[in-house]
Amino acid sequence: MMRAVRRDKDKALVARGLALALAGLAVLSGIGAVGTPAARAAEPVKERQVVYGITPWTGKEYGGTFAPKMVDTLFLSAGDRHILDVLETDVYYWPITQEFMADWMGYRKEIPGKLEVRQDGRVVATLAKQPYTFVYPEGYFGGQVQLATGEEAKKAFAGYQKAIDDYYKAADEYRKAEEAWRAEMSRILDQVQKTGKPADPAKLPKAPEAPQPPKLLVMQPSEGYVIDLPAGRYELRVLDDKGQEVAGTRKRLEVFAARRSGVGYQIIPESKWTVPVEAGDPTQALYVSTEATFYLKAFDAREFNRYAYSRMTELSKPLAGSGQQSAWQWVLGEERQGVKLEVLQDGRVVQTVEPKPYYVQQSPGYALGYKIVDFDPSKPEFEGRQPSFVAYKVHLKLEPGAHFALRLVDKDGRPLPGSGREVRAVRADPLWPLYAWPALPLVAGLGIATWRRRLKPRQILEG
Amino acid sequence: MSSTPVPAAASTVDASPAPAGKLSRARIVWSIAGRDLRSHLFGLSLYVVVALVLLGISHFAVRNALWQVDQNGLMVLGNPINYPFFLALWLSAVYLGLMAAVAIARERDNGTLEVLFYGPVDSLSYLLGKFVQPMISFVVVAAFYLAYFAASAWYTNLGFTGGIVQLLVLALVLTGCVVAFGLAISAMSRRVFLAVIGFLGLMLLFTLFSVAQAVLLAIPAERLTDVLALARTLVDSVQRGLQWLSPLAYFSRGSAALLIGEWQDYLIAVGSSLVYTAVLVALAVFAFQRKGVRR
Repeated sequence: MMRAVRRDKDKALVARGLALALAGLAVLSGIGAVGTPAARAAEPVKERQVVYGITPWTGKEYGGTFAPKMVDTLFLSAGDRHILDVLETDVYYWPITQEFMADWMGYRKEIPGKLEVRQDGRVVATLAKQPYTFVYPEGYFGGQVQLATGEEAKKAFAGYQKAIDDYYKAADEYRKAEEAWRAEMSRILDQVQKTGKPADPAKLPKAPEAPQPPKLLVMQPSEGYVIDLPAGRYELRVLDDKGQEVAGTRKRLEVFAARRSGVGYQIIPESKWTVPVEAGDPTQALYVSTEATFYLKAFDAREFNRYAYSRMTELSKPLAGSGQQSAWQWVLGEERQGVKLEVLQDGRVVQTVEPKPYYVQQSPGYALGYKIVDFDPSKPEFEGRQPSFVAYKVHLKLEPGAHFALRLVDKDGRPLPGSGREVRAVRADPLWPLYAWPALPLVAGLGIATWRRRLKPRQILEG
Repeated sequence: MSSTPVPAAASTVDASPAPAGKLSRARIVWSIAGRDLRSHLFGLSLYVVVALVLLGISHFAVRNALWQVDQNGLMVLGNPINYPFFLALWLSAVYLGLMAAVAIARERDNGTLEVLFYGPVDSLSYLLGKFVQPMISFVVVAAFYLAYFAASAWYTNLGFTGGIVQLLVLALVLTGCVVAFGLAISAMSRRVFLAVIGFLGLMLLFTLFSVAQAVLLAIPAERLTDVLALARTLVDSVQRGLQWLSPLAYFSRGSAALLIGEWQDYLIAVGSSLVYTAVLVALAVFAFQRKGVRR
């Protein structure tokens, strides 16, 4: 498959290489440096084109890019549901960000028809446009997104609208109930002031509770081609209602598979919580010096070819993925839920950790600093606040040379494949052995040379 | 021109009596390899090189990894010992390849090659002898490396790679590739300095492109300028062009396959390295026959 990617890339490489060479020369000769932003940001030349709108599943979210006329190959990951759409719009090149842009607001015309997917000359799928929408169960910033298609999309949106309507109704009722409660409380207060007798607390009306707005967010459904294919090379084209190919819709499609998959971690060191470290590769280990406290978040992780992945997510950028055909990258996807973290020492479980919410408290005053504390919504200091993050807290007291391991287990206690990581405490003191050992080959060499010298005269005498 | 009378037989290689059978050739190969091996193992240069390589690894790689962990408190690293181990193997392979590259050109330059071919030596047995010697030397070098890296990994707790046997097999075929490369360069050169410059120049080219690719790939997308993007594209294209020429590329493919447990790719890397070695030894024999044994 990658050979196919390379073959395709080689053709584009020459053209891109020339473009890059010119760009490089321009930069080197100072042309790029002297151009003022105002001059660079002049009205671009637009060209009306048939383009593929692409909403790829990046592993974590649905992205957005498009394939202008000059891009002849689309890239999508295997085994994931992606959205394609074919439209006519005005395209221009934006040199500041080095990408093609589409003026969707200025002109946008849907190209009707069916999307035909061919492989080796055979039709493998003919797709009709269908409604789709994105569902965010925890809200837009909640970190989760689901794709709903067909009737499910319509139902999801209807459900969301109902939830919003119900909330507004509840909010309206709350407002009325609160008004009534305030009026009643005013009346009681007036009575207390008139009579001088305190009111019986048991007889005081209970304040109404404000309804919570729904966390759920569902986008207005759109129409597009939902595509999910196994790895391979395909050809795409749109057929009109007469079965004729629509001009400008023929493209190649590379569907690439992950090389490896497993569990990736985002590691938040207690001392640098704003700079989390990602560990996707299961062959990587965590190296610590002495006592270590860190927080882990676990995700699905897949390893993709860097070129193919960049082309999938940023196809409108000609430079995306350039020179990265031989590189691989781990992509952290959705967060793992309902699992526990085990800490092992010498193969024995010494700690089992559940994920918990934590809050980062800034130090008061002018001094910089913070501390990470357990988030407890029942405490008054956390009222109206949200946790900074939810993670597994690991605290290890390590002797130099100590060797621990981490792994995730499901609710039945079964370890999750690819979730194991070593934790090693390094020994950095004293360092003299590291300088002494390299001398050993030299000592051996001198020994052999001396032995050889002693041997020679004896051999001569014997001879 | 040599003033000593030279029989017509010596003016062209292989005109001397051919070795009598396989055993005879094996004995000749072993005799040539043994002679060189003795001078190599009983000399100091090999041990000095190994000691210097390990000292460099200790100071620049292992100590640096420890310092980084100490400064950051926590670091996520792929096995930090693996890369230095690979670097040490590569440096020693280049050293042994250089010795091989110098060997033929020097003997031809000194005129000792001509004398050798008055005996029952032909170009194949001579070159095989010159090939076997560095390979045995590598086993000695690898033993030192293994001891050092195992001790360093244990002492610092940086850990050492799994699949060490497979990695050593890979290192052995890598050395074979580099030595065969050196022999081919040497067989084509009439002068020692040409062989040295040719061999080191190409090894430096392979190394530089490999390092440049790693450095350019590490640049995050948001910091990628036009010039860097162009450089990355060019370097990647050259690297893909060199993938069947550079011994380093064979080793990289094999070690990557080993890392992800792709045994088929690993075996392909080992197999293709052996083919590469055989082709270059054959090329060396051909070039040697063309050039002859005289200065």
